[in-house]
Formats: sequence, C-alpha cells, structure tokens
Amino acid sequence: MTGTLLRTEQLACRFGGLVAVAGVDISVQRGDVQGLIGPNGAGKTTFLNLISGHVRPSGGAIFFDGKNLEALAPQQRAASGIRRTFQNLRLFREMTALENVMVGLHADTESEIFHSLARGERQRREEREIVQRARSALDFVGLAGCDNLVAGALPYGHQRLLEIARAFVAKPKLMLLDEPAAGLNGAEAGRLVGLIRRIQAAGVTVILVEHHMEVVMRACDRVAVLNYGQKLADGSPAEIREHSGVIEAYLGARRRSSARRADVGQITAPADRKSAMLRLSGVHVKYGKIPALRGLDMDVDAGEIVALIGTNGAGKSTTLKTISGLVSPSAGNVELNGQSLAGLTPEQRVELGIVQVPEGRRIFPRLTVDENLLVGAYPARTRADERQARERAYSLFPRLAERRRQAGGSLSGGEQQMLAFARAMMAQPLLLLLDEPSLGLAPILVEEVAAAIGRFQRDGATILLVEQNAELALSVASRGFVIETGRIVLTGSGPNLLENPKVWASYLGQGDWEAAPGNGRREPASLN
Amino acid sequence: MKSAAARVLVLGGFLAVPFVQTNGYWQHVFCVALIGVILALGLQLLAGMAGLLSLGQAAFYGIGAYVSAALTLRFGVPFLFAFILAGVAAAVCSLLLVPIVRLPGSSLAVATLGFNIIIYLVLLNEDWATGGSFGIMNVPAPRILGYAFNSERAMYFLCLFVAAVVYLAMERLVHSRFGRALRAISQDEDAARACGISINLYKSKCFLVAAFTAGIAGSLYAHQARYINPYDFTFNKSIEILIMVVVGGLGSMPGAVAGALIVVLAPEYLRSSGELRLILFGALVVVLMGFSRGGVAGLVPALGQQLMRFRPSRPVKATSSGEPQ
Repeated sequence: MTGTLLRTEQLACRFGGLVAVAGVDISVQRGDVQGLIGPNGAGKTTFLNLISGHVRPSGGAIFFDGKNLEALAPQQRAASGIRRTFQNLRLFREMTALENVMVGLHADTESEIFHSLARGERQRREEREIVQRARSALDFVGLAGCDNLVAGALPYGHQRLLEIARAFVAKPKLMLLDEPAAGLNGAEAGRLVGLIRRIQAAGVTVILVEHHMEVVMRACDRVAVLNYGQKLADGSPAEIREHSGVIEAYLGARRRSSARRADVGQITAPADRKSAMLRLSGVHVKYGKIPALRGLDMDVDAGEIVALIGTNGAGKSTTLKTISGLVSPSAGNVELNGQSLAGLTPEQRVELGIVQVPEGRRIFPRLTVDENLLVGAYPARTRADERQARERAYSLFPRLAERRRQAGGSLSGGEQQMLAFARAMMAQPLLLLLDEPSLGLAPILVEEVAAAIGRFQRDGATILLVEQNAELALSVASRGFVIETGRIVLTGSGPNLLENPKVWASYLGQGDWEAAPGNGRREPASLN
Repeated sequence: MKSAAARVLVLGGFLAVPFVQTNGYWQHVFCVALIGVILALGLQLLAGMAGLLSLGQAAFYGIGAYVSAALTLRFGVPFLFAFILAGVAAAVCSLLLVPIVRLPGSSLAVATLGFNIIIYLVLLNEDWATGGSFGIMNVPAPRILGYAFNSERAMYFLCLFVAAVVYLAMERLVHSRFGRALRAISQDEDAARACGISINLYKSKCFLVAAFTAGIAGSLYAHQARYINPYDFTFNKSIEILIMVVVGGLGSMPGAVAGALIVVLAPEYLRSSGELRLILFGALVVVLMGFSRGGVAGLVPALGQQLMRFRPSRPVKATSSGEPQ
C-alpha cells in the first residue's frame, strides 16, 4: 500500500506564551522512514507528543489513516496503531524486560479481571501468545535472553532497544522514535540504523526525531527540518544535506569548531603530575555481584580539563559516582588534594568543593530558573554571596538571564543543560564532575556546551568530563582517559587521543563513525 | 519447585494453628488476623501494584459488614448470598470514587480518607438502617448448606479458606494482563498510555476489586464478631490496613500476609507488657521499617543472605573471596 499515512494541517501548540509548534504541515508516506530534525527547542518532541496525543494542540488538525485524531486520547491512538518511544526512556523500570514488552500488547489483547481469575482456555492461549510475541520482539531488537532481567537494571543501550521492542511488538502502523540514538556510541548507532530499516521492512512507517545526523541520513527516506516551531525544509536526505538554510540553522556551528579548539588549547595548563588534585587508585566498585570498576587508576591536576571516555556500561558514570560519594568502592582509594575521601557523605564532599552535574540534567522542573540557581548555592561557604554568584552565572549564560522567571521544566533540553551547569557553578566548585553534558543536544548546542566548559575552566574550576561524544570531550580536554569494562586502557593528551585510531575504533564520537572500520555494519546479534 | 514447597508449608502451618492453640480467645485473635490478611491483600493490589494510596479501605470493610449483617438478620438472606452481596455492595459504592481516581498520590490519599469519614458518619447517624452508635447486635453465625460455623475453630477455617482463595485470586491478577497494566500505570502513566492502557478505567477497576475484597472481609468480620458498630470502621482502621501493607512490603502479596499477621498478632503477644504494649508495637514498626524499606518481604532475602554467611561450608566461597572486605 502506498499513499499518505499521516498528515498534519497547520498543527500548532502553545505553552503559555511559548510557541512550541507554529502551524506545521507535514505528510508522511506509508512505508517511509520520515526523519524530523532541527535544533534543540525547535518543537520536534512537542510535534511527536501532539501526534501520540500526550499533548493537546492549540490549533490545526492531524489526519491518520484518513481519520481526524482530534477526539482520540493517547491510549486510543495507541490502539489504532500509533506507538512511540520517549526521549528520556520511559520504561516500567521495576518490571522485567519481557513484561515491559508484554504491556505493549495491551491494546491488542482483551482478557479482563474475570478471565484472569478463571484462567480459562482462551485466557491461557492469549497469555501464551502474548509471551511468544513479546519474546520474538525482544529477539527482533537484539535483546534475546534478557527476558527476566529487570528493565531498570539493563545497560542504557539495551534500555533504548527495550523501549523500541515495547513499541514494535504490537506491529503498529506508525512508530514515533524520539531520539533513539541519544547516548549510544558509534557502533550501537550503526546497529540502530539497521534496526530501523528492519522495522520499516516489517511494514511499519517510522517518524524519527534524532540529532545524530549520520543515523538520520542513513535511516531516513525523507527528512523534514523544524526550526522555531516551523517547517524549514522537507526533502530527501541528500537535499537536506545541501540545503543552505538547514546548514545554517542546524549545523552552522561546525564551521567554527576549529577556532574554538585553538581557543581552548591556549588556556589549558601543562600537566604537573605531582600535584594531582584528585587521585583514584585501584578503585573497585560492585553493584551486587556485578563489578562495575575493576582497579581503576586516574588522576586530575588542578586547573585542567580531563576527559573520561568509553562506551555505555564501561564504568564512566560509576567513576563519577564514586568520586561524588554516591557509591562507595569495595577497594581502592579516592583522594582530594592528598586526603582520602573515604567515609565522607556526598553532602560533605560538596562542602569540600566536589560538585557533580548529573546525567540527564536533573534540574528542578517546577522551580524557576532563579530558584534553581539559588538551590545550587546550598553549601555553607557559598551562601553568603549567592546573589553575586547568580549574576556571574547569568553573565556566563545570558540565555538563562532572559528566562530567569520561567519554570525550569519549560526550558528546552539545551537550556536545561545550561541551567544545570549554572546551578553547579553556584556552589563554587573546586572540582566539577560533568556527566554526559552533550546527551541529546543538537550539534550547535554541543558547541555551546564545549564553550561553557572552557568558561568554567577560566573561572578556576578543575573539570572531569565524562562523555559518549569522544570528539567533544577530547577537543576540550588537556588529557583523556579511555575506560573499558571498569579499567583505564588508554591515556594521553586530548589532541593525541583524538588522532589515535585505537580510540576511534572502539569509542566513536558522533559524526566520525563511518571512518572506522567495521562499524555500523555489524550484525545486531553481536550486541552484547 | 521451591515456591510450591513453601506454600504447602505455610498452608500446613495455618491449618495447624487451631489444633496447637486450643485457647478460644487466641483462636478468635487468629481469626481476626486472617480477616486482616484479606484486607491487606486488597490494599496491596491498590497501593502495591497500582500505586494508589487509599486511606478509605475501612469504609468498604464497614459497608460489607453492615450489608451482610442487615441482610442475614433482617431479611433472613442465607449467609453465602449475604457474603457475596457484601462484596458487591462495597464494589458498587467504590464507583463513587471514579471521579477522584485521577488525583495524584497524596491528594488521592486525603480524598479517600474523606470518603472513609463520610461513610463512618453515615453508619453513625442513619439510625434507621444502621442502628446508629449502638450498631447491630446478635449477627448470626455463618451457616452454609446447613452447617453452622458456631465454634471459633470452624470460623477460623472459614476465614482461612476465604483468605487462601483471595490470595490465589490476587496472584492470578498480578500475573495477568490486568495486573501488568496496573503495575505499568504505577511506574509511568505516560508510557502506559502510549501502550494503549486507559489509566482512569484501570484505576477504577482496581478500586472496584479492592473494595469487593474489603467488603467480603467485612462480612466475615460481622459474622465472626457477631456485633458491629461504626467505631470499627473509622479511618484509623484504614491506616491500620495501610500499616499492614507497608510493614509487609509494598508490592508483595506474601508480604501483605506477613504484615497483617504482625499488625494483628504483635500487640496481642505484647499484652503481657501491659501499658507499654502499643509503644513497643510502634517501636517494632519503626525499627522494622528502618531495617528494610521493602518491609518484611524485603527483609527475608536479606536475612537469607546473612544466614548463608554463617554456614560452615559454602560452595560460593570461590567467588566471594575475591570481594575485598
């Protein structure tokens, strides 16, 4: 079958004074993978929310399969064949992987309370069918054998796949994927492209919102570009790549990147091995029986930016949590300026000046920007001059100053990241721990993040940066450590590692993964 | 299968109780404990599975008790029908909560508490139907197919039978499409909607099932105590049921059973300490929650691990020796 599956007419959505989607016309052809790209805050996620029914439009109409969706609630749209994933992983975290996918079949099945109590033949048959279909969906995305693992305990990349399985299991007509490649490394992103193509081959039309340009270019048949809530362009991936307006709005920052690198290079202090501010020696961490860190050694000198890079599940976040005191090592030492941190609570470490910007930003959505910043000035030594600190934060992030009275939750993803940075700065950190600051950000904002990291350093902070995006991390860092299965396997100066083919072979930063041999073409079966 | 053996063991234990404990008062207390188990199982479905914090379960418990007592005493309805109708009446009354199921956690708790207070006031003030503050006296003993459950022991077995059936029913519900939908809702409503689950419908259904369960528990209580009055069904009772579930461990059906037994039996066992007993009971609850946020259900695996460590020969030594102390 061909023809239009989904069509929007002047679709609009306002949140208070903020126009998120401003009259968008898009039609999606049956059987296509339709890409949807645009800078952060362009309205992509809101657009998906409007289609899935999670957000109500303030104008316009959506036609799906010839029907107007206006009156349908999200669950009814799901039942009529629209399934989705979420940007920030919305799994049923305490249920097993299999159960998560089984819930995806809810609308396709019908046993009710009495059937479950009586457990008759029909109900048992249906239950067997649900289990079987859920298993084959897990198999399809490459999670065979994960059936009985609790969803929240799966590695990040697997959680992304599980969400896709939950949406795919019901064989929907339309699947909405909201940044499925966020947080995936190059090889995983390559496999994701293969998965999206196989979903398409199974007869499912896909709308893909994504920042990972290589994924978009390879997976999509057509690409639409949103900017400030309006459609900027629509066409084949090749046309979009050449479209001057798109390049300017979306990829413009790329051209400036070399200048920025030089800028950062100037201010990077030469490393002095003896005066390490932070030193980790032989650190072991276990989650239950599973080792996360296995004898990790690394050090960070005062005033420098150090990058810790590696794939998902390599132990990057655990390293940060060990330093900030959220997990305690089963062996080994963490020292700050020669003093052991053992036995200190996370709060005490913040008082010492170790401040973490957690993955996923964790801003307070219902507090205003102003209030979010003041919460950041909690440590006793910073409370005295909190107002002054706040003004300094605003001068570094002028975009936040414009929105100081706005609720944190109403900011776009990029602005939220800026807010998380600014909030951490309020604590006047000695050592700043950044966990995946570029996660889910458009390239232009990744550049801003890099610039912000530079500003932090000039402000006197020492920075330990954990990143999937190795290119970003190594281009701003004076030194880098490569972590693999809980151990440091490679270390060197930032520029050095950036050129090192070994790094690129296993830890591909965004945009460069095509250059590496074998990646992106590996079979999904090798996912583990 | 380990769980099958555990079940037989637990059931055997329950069956042995009235033979080991022949004192009539204690048999009565154990009977009350089993009724508590039924109440806790119902709330576990609401609070533990669907994440709906209800402080109104005692209202449905009261409705069941009054309906069952009135039907048998005034209209001569056989116990079995009165028992079922008690559940049905409570379930029908739960439809009054449909407009408020959409409320978020703490608001829902307060709203259900308000519902409980309203039902209590109705029981207290509508003398013509409920006997007012005097309640209903001389409720007959249950009689099924000519057999009268006159003795404490017979009553105990009746309650045990109902509790066991309710337990198995809850277990089936938890591992069904219905139960999965409830658990999904409690963990992420938006994602549940995206899977096609109608949130308010399922929350309402969950209230319905929990109210039915509380209603039949009320019926058992009326015919076991033989005398009911409104003071048995204040929101204090609702809070007691909540304590059972939380002490037992939210989300665990065996935990609900354990919690109910602890909450009913511990104060009785502490009776020898006289005036201190409620303080001791309170302290016990605080200490228990301090040790394990997952309640008793969370404590059992942890204790099991502790016990493993003390075993003289341990086959797992090879792996655990690598663990630095």
